[in-house]
Amino acid sequence: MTTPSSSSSNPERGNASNGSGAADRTAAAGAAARPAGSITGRDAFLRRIAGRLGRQAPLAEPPARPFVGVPERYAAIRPTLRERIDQFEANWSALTGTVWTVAATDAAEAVPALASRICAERGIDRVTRWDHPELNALPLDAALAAAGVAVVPWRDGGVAPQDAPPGDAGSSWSRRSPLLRAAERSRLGIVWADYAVANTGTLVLLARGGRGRSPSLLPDTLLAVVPADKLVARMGEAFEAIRRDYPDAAAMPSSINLVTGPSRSADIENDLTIGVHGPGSVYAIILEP
Amino acid sequence: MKVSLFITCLADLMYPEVGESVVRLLHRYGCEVDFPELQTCCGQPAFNSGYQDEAREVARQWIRAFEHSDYVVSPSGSCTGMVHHYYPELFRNEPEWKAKAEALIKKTYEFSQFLVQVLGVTDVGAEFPHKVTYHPSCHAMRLLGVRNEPLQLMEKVKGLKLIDLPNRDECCGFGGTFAVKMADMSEAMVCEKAKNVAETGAEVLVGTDMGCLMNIQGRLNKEGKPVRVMHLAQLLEEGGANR
Amino acid sequence: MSHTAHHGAATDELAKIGSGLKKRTELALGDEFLRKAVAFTTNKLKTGRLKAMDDFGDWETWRERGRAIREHVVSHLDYYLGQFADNVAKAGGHVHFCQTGEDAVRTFLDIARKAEAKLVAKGKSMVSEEIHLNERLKEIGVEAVETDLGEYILQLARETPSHLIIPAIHKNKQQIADLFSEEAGETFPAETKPLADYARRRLRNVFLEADIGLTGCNFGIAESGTITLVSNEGNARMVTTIPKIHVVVMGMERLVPTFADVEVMLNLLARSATGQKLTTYTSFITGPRREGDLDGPEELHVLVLDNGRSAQLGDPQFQPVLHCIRCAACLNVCPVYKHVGGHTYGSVYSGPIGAVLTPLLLQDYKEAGTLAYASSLCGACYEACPVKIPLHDMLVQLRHRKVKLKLTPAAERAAFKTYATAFGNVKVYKMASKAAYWLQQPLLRKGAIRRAPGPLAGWTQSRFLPMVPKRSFRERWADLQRELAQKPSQPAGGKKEERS
Repeated sequence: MTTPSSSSSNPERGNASNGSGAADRTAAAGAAARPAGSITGRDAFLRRIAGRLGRQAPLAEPPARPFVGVPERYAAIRPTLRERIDQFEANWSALTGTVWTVAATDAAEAVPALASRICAERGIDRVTRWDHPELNALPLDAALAAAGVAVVPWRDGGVAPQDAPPGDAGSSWSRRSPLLRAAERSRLGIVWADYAVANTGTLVLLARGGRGRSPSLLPDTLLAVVPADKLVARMGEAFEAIRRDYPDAAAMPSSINLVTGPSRSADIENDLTIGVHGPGSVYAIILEP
Repeated sequence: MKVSLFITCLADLMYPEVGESVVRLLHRYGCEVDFPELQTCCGQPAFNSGYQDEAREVARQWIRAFEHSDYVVSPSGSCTGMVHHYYPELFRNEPEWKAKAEALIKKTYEFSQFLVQVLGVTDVGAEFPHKVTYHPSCHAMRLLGVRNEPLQLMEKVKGLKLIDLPNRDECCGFGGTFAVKMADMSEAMVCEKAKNVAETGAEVLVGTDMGCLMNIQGRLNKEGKPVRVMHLAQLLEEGGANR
Repeated sequence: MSHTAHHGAATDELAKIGSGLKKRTELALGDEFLRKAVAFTTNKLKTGRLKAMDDFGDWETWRERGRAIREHVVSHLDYYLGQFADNVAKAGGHVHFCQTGEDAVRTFLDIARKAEAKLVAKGKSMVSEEIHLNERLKEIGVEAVETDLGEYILQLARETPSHLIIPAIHKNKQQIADLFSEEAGETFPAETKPLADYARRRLRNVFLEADIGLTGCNFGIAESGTITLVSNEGNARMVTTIPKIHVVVMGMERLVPTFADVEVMLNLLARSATGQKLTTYTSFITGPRREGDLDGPEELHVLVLDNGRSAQLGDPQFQPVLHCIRCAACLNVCPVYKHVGGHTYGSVYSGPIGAVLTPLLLQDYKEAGTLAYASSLCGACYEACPVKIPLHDMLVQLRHRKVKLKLTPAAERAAFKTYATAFGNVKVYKMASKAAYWLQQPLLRKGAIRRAPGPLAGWTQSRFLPMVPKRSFRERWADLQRELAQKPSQPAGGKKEERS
């Protein structure tokens, strides 16, 4: 399990939710160089709500709750690994995704081979991928380069000019990072799923540092490598793990994306269109232990 | 078993024969049926239009009429639903009346509900060799939870061919004053319902609420469609009457 | 002639929510394509929901769970909003509490001015429509482009949504092709693929050029200050990844306490809305990009909006309307909505939820309150609601509120006073019923009333009215009792009776 790249060394104090204080409040910035947040108009707004709910001042203590989250019967369902893999495969395929299951020990061979295959089948010549230790460890770039495919790892600096078209001077596009411009030119994005959810056919991708949001969004094709030990039965298990790893707001990844199949819309006369803004073709490789 | 008939103002004035069928059926199963003279209406027309004071006046009359009954049975899911679902709300500021209402709610049933749940009857020994389609009452379904009882009763009727009504659970467009207040919307709804009924090819349309049936029949008649419209009680009674 | 043309050039009368209702209804009912499209779409979504509920199993347990979570958070909203705001700020976001729509608009305009923004890329946000943000942005020379495909189509057509989830169902392919062709300066065929391809190309440019991305918020998670966004197209992800600034406009009630709770809501939302297990994308956004992130916005603003919501708090009749998760399940089962579509409601929010929410948020029971009558009170909305909002009860209570505020016509008030007198007293009731028998006589033609006067004209517009029989049930009771006295009866058990 990777640790968050910029975690705060001094943990935040607990949630300070008292209603008294100045009208404007600036929250303390914990981690280094994280932008400071702010709140405006809090007190009058919350006092009004408290008043409507019959209280003198906004509630300061967490109210008691008889239960939290999903029904117990549902949470108690514990499918085996095999069942979870089968379920993920069924859900992913039903959404027109392609899924392969390979032995984890074969990953170094299988992942580059399948990535090359996708590129060959879809005429792809440029790929963006997460800068992720597991992906970095595979001979992925070499295999793709050998097939004539350019690879843009999601890291600062060193983007080849041909991969980052400039755009019109003065336009916002020209001011975007070379990396973003390169990702926009890529037709395949490769990520290493943080988790996957079996009963919905979902990838869970935490964005931080070299694991950007764009690689799984801008290209028209997505390939995710899913380690089977991160394939949980229901999304709540992934949430629990994430909350354990990032217990406070400051440390949370700024973006967590659940991806369940290809981008779609039925807005044109109820006709289903696949691949509207996000990737229209999605692939997953499950690495079995 | 003593049972008081809650005829409903609609059946009293417009469909007395439905009341007669209900009474005859109950009598057949050993119920001593009485008719509390004080009853008029449950108050729903006023309540649904937002006139709660007026509804309360009429509802008090209803409670006076039935407060000493052992059972109250009505041929209308809608009126029964009014009592069950809205009387506690209507009397929320009058604890005495609220208590009386709550006591009565436990004893008040829609007709098919009473036959099946209280009398334990699903086979009334009827024969009705006709093609029939069924329209369920929204209020019976959603305020009282009556869904299966009418079907259970019809299942046991010999020779009855039940044809599924498309979009069966969709409202017919009666809604009391809605039918006149929002006449255009109501028209669209009843036209679709009547069309679905006619297209089943059924000879008979059956239901458990005369409001719905009056509405649909009114449209079928205007269209000149020869579908016979009956309350479930009439169908069951007529089916058993020849034996 | 399509009613949408009328809507584009709205007369004052037509736009008035109450007074224009009848005319808007007529226009909708006369629009064949609209009716077919709405019926097809709602049927498809409703069928999808039923199947998803069935597959998932135990749906009533889930509904109750969803209701309890939303009820808990709304009835402790002062606590959870405070917690939410504190966490958004801790994560580096800026929270702006906005009492009115005007406050929210001004806050947004300030953000736009400060950023010297020229282009705003909009994800789907009903709240932004509620506060009429687009028009105000135009006034300061900022272009706002809708990026949800349906909303984009409507923006080109200069129309408002007719459904909460699939906003442009009233548009056919040819109309869409015409809109795109005019926008692009080239001709598109009325086929889905080329139209979708154009939208993808055109909107990608918007994503890449936009200075600000605007979204709503499906669920704010209080324990971490997280914004949850659901989408199928990917536009919500786009506008929260590329532009420098992300602004969230959020109804203050759209919270859940924890991630564990959002699992419940997500399981309910997609299934209730479209029958999917989950939308394609569910994004959890906590603060702007962190140090070391190479994409994502540098600034996050969350505008928390009241705009009439707090007035429902503490009101036992209506507080639950704030539990709504905007899934549109109620629209898809409403028989009225099915026939008239969303524009008939004359408001941002349509269908059963719209009929309740609009008068409450606007605190307008005169005009907007009329929407509460656009219902036969069939209860299908309550049955479909994943968080069990008693919309059918609320509609009746809204009618009551109108009466209490003396906003109903004098003739109607008098009529119900008469009703209470007549039906509150058996003697008067009996006289009235006798009178009805005689009064109908001149109106009868071949045993039915085909054209009734006054208020009953609405009935005979489309139906016959049956005749009142000479003897009411209670007049026949004595005879019936005599008849029964002669017949034997069986104990309850179902045996056939013997013929006497």
